[in-house]
Amino acid sequence: MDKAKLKAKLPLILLLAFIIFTIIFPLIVKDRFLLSILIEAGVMCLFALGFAAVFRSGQFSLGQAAFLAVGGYAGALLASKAGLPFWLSLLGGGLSSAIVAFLLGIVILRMGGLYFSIATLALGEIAIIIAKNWDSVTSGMTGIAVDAPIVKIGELTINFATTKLPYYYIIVLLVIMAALMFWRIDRSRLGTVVRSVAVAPVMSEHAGIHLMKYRVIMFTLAAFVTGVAGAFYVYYLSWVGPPLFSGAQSTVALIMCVIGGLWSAVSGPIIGAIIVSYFGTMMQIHLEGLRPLVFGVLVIVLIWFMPNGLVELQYRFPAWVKSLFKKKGKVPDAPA
Amino acid sequence: MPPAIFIDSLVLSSMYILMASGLVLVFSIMGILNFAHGQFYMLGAYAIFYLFQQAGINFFISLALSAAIVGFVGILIERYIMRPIGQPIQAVVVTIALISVFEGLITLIAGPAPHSVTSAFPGNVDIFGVSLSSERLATVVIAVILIIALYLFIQRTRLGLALRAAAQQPVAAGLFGIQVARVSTLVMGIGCGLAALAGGIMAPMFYVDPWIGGQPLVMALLAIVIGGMGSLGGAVVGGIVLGMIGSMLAYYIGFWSQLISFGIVIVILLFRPQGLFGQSEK
Amino acid sequence: MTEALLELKDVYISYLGVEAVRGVSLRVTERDFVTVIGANGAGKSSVFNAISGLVKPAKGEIWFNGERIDRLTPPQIAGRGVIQVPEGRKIFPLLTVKENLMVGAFMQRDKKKIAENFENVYRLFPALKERPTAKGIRLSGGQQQMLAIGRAMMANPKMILLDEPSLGLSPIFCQQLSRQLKALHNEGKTLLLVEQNARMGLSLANYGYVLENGELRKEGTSAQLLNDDEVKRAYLGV
Ligand SMILES: Nc1ncnc2c1ncn2[C@@H]1O[C@H](COP(=O)(O)OP(=O)(O)O)[C@@H](O)[C@H]1O
Ligand SMILES: [Mg+2]
Repeated sequence: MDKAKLKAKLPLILLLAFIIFTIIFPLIVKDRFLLSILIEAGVMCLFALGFAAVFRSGQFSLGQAAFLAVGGYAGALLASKAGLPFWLSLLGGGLSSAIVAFLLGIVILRMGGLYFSIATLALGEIAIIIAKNWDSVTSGMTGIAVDAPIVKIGELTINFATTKLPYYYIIVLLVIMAALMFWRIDRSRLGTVVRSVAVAPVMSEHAGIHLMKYRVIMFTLAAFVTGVAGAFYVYYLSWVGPPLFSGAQSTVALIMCVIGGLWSAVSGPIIGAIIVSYFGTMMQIHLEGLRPLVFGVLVIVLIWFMPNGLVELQYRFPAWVKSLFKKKGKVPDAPA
Repeated sequence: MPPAIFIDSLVLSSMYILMASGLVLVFSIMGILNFAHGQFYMLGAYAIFYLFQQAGINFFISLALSAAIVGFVGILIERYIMRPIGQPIQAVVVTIALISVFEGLITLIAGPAPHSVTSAFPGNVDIFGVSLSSERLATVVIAVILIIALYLFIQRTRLGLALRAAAQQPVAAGLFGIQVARVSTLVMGIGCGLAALAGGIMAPMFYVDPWIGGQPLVMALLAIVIGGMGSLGGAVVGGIVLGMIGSMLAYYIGFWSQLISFGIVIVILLFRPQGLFGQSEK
Repeated sequence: MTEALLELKDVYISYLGVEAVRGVSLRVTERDFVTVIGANGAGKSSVFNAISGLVKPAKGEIWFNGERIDRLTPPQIAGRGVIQVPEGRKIFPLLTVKENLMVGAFMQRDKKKIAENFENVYRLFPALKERPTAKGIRLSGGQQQMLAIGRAMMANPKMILLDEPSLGLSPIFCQQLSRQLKALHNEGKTLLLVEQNARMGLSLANYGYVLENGELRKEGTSAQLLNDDEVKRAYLGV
């Protein structure tokens, strides 16, 4: 009885342990470089979560980087031109992305499969062309500089220019909120309906309406989260410019999700984003020119051995441990 | 439109058509987009750089060799990486990873610096009193010949029939003795070979570096959408339209032309999701 | 007992661990016309797909023409002369009528034989002869069914498996189809027909098997089965 109860609560306990770990981690390990990798990984988590949400509604977006860009530029403009405070700029970045996504979504989400993918790809390219050429707003390749925020909470003044720690906690908070939101929606009735529709080849008109509604919701929410990530990223780097949002970024989201595991709405993208950002950056530093080759080969090898992603380990690992014990148990039986 | 601009747009169209037809062939039978298609184009350009430029082999023989080598690489990848992995999303990610692999590999071998390839057809020719670059003309002629050859292969040969049957109804094709897996492998080889040919004939007109594959892929995708998925005819029409739009707009209105090309694609998608000339599927 | 052309011995088929067919054994001798009747989901298509090599039986053996075929691939089995007309026709929608038939002749190298088969098909199905360049998708349901059978004839089969050819056809087309199948049998072809429409199956075939929930329930000559009380009640609606 007690054991069963414990087992049912295990995921929750593990999750809480993980959250506590992420909170105290930078207080114990005072490694500025590692901290900066983790912050970037957090941005990538939001990005990958957004991609996965759209993907799980049955659409394959190749232009998610565009929403990172919209959020990034909107955040930068709100901060530098309109002088909005940090939080409002983040929110503004998210909302701008969400509005763009909603307006585009109600039109392009009607396209099926490959056509949607190519339309989003074209949108991603359009976003970059605009960013590069609309000098009066985006300042072209020069980009826009953004000052590090100074936040006052009561007596306490936090200057983001002197320490990266606040960025870390904010992105952890954002990832947790986004993860909870997507997890909740995935578990909702609508989410379940849509996933069953996505696998069934024939769908009723009724299901079709549900599907379209769900897709618009997910596309918009994903863009919101991605936009917030974009605005956050721009603050963190103190700069926004076209190179941040290349079309290749959009495919990186897919790589992260597949490496982590697409069968889960939340844990797969998060695990994939952390692993890919961490090892990606490490490889960049230690391998330099060899990096693209090694990265590509590693991705293929990982997919080869774990086609369902790293989350699969959660099932494989216990089985593996059990098989170890079984073998040991058999040792006495074997003839000496 | 000045004749030079016209011939330029035909050159671009040739590239888009060759790229798009390979991409469509592979998609039609394997059901996945080969994101590394542009890198096969890049490999083809490097093959021309080494064979024709460095080793001094005849241009046409170099082209044939480059198509054969790159096609073989495609066959190996389909047979030993994509087929064992099987699932479509995973296979797509493999092709994305292959982009890094090929770009990284070529950077290691040839370095990041761009190379140029001298023209196999220097000078100009006069046609009806208009002087045109013979290199560009030759490129267009080679592309036209290749596309006609591909068309005849698909429409007129036993293997072409098997290919179309396997793409439309793989299970039924198997019931009549067609080995669909083998056809897939072959198609991957042909598709990659076509990309290599496109890279090869374009190499003398542009420069060659490890990252030249990105743009051709995007343009090929757009061409497919304009013309309509699933047929060679669609790829041809889409390639011509896109080439014409691209260079004409660039000539008349400058840089924003690119934006308009992408915009046109989205508008076409909205009003004719099956492509301008495509027929709705099944 | 004469030598069977096709024989299934105690065949089991399962999908992801769920058994769909259990211990089915059946025999078809050369030039015979045999039918398998059964309700939707009884496992008829599964049996056919096992014969054609599209699914591997979990247990049991399948023999054709004195050779064990249950470990061969679909193209290899087709090469032995067992050709299936699959459920739902599965013609090639964007190929022309002529091209569809050419795919049927894919394994045939002899040009003269191919021409002969074309004539045979066009004689049995004049409707196809009228529109050789029409795309498969443009044909009516009945014409598509003719095309699917014609395509099988092009392969010069020793045996044709027909999976619910009457599905979705109007009664008039069904009658026409019955005549055509009879003609095919009279030409000397060995036929194995699966039907939900039991009356049609039994009136055409000489011998029948009744499949129920993945198991063989009954077998006998068509006359026996048509007069069997249980069969009457369950399948003939009498
Ligand atoms: N590909 C498959 N995967 C899983 N189950 C299947 C598959 N094909 C058939 N089945 C199951 O096997 C049983 C028999 O199906 P089938 O052979 O198609 O019957 P029939 O042709 O008599 O209608 C059914 O319960 C069906 O759900
Ligand atoms: Mg059936």
